[in-house]
Amino acid sequence: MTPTVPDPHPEERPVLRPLQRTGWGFRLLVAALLAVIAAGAYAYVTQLRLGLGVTGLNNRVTWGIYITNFVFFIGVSHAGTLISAILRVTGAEWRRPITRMAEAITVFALMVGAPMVLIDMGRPERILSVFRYGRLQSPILWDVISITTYLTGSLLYLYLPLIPDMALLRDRLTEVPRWKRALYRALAAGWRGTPRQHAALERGISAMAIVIIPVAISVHTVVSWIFGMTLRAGWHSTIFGPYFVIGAIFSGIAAIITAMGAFRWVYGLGGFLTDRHFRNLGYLLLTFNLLYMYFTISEYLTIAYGAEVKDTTLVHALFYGAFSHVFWVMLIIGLVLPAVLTLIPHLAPIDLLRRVPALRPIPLGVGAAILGGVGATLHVRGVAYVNTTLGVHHDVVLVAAGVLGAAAFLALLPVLKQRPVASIVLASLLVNAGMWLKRYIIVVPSMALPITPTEWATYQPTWVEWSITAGAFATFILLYALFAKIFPLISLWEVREAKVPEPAPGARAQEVVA
Amino acid sequence: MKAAVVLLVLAGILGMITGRAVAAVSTRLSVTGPSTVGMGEEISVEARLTTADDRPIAGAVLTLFQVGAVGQRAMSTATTDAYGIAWFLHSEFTVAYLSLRVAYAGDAARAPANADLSVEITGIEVAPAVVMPHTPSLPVKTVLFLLLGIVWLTYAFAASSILGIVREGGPRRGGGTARVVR
Repeated sequence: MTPTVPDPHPEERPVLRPLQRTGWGFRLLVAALLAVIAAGAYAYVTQLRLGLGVTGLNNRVTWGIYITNFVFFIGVSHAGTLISAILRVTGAEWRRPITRMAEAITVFALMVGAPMVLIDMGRPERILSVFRYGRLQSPILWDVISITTYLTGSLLYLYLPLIPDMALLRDRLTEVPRWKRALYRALAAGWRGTPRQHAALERGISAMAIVIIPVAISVHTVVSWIFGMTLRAGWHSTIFGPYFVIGAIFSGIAAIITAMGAFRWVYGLGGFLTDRHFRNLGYLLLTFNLLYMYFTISEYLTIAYGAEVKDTTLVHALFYGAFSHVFWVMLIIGLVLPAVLTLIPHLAPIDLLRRVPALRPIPLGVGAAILGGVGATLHVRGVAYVNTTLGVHHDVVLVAAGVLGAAAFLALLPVLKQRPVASIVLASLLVNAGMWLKRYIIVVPSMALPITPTEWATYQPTWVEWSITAGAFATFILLYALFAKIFPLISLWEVREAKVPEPAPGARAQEVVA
Repeated sequence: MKAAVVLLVLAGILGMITGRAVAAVSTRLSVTGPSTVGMGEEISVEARLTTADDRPIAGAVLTLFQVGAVGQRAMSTATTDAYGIAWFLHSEFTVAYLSLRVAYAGDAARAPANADLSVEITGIEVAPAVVMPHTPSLPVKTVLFLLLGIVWLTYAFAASSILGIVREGGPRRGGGTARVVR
């Protein structure tokens, strides 16, 4: 009979549990994601077979939501760089439990985002032309070089801190399937934790942490130059480089907070991902939110004040015209609401909202029901977009919906004040959605804008584009979910090294010690 | 003898094929106009269409084109009078050196012809042309690839640390590791 070895680190069990057991919830999630990916694959095969005519893309708007996705995912990929590299270089100790999740986001976002360009090209084999006939003066070629360099560096930067944990899993998880043990053994690279191995590891990680920061900045700067070096209204801007980098870091922080929130909830990682991590990242989110607001105001004020015909046409379309819905929704959900949500713990007057009768669940519910009824009636009668017999203009319904939404949001604020983590996760979700919309209004309106005196181009994404987009997001989530089933989401050796004594509030929290 | 017959037949066929062209009267077009005009002035262009032996062609429609770098744009048309002369007035200036062309399209009886005219527009403030190199110079390329090389060398350095870890791990005894990491 083998004597039972006591577990020296019981606090790490929540991290290792997903690697040892797979529940039905995970299997259902994978099945659902595979179904979405299959739909995306079918849409892509349709596009390959019939050509780009099955999309909403046309000779004027050649970059639609595919390039929106590309810029979005490249932006999200900055999560790893900021959280891991910058915080590592600056010696921020609190970063230790979240570095791996951030680094994984970088790799998967790049893997999903980069192929979006190939999908937009229609004929993917033409990527070879970039290598055969590529010109060094083309930002497209710079993009290929910088993204390849970034992906390689990110993979290396993800792998290096994994080595000690791979050794830990190799020696600790003896009951997992054989292929997993073989994988851990191979990836552990013979790690025994000797001082010389530690020194070699630190050397490698430090070098990568330093070099990956300028590489990441260069990647999004180059992406911005694809737009900025084109003589189009809304694109030809000198601030696009830093504007894109700030936006990328902003959406990257939002992505890591979202992932942290999901894993803390699903795997019960409250002992590692404490309120302190969410609070600190919330402050970072707010900082970059304000920076992004500054750049946004600076960008639009400058071009609107100059009053060049094309610039003012574009600004008018964004502020009041065809793209105004997307623009204002982006501003509200991507910048304004997240700022309010991250500031909630510091806003004392929010408690007063509890006393407002109109913000109670019953009046709000009644209001929503009435509005829903009116909206449904208008829709069923086919008068949702015309001012006809019922005498209710659709704008009135929209305004009422906006007022009701604002009231619901206000009613939610006191609740969220009691749950700062939920508030920050909600803010990050809104930022994710807002930043996708922001990329859409960067890409599409400038292409639809008439260059010669003619009419605006139209662009309406088809089911093919939406299916491929859904497939891309599903692929990203699937890769991340599979990663979480094979590798520990928390860098255990780094957490042990830090000997973090901070006890997390709540019953689930456990003190993490080396 | 045979060769002469073959030549005559070939000449006949050639004559049938090119009969129309051979039958068309060749024409000659000449244009006169100012070599320079001030900004805002109209350019008066006189075109004269004649046959090769200088007989005027009346009633022919001539077209004035503005010639640009990527093609020509028709500006106006005029019909020749009894002296074979047509007049154009041109007032659209977009460049400091204007290239104009008058063309006669020809018809079944007359061959086409055209003639060019260059006019310098004075009084236009033209910024001195700056020649931008279309390909990066050698120093620029060198700096770019140097930076890229530094990045990839750093990657190689970081990857070499993995080799250092593997080497330090050494051969396993009995299939296990010398020290268990828990």
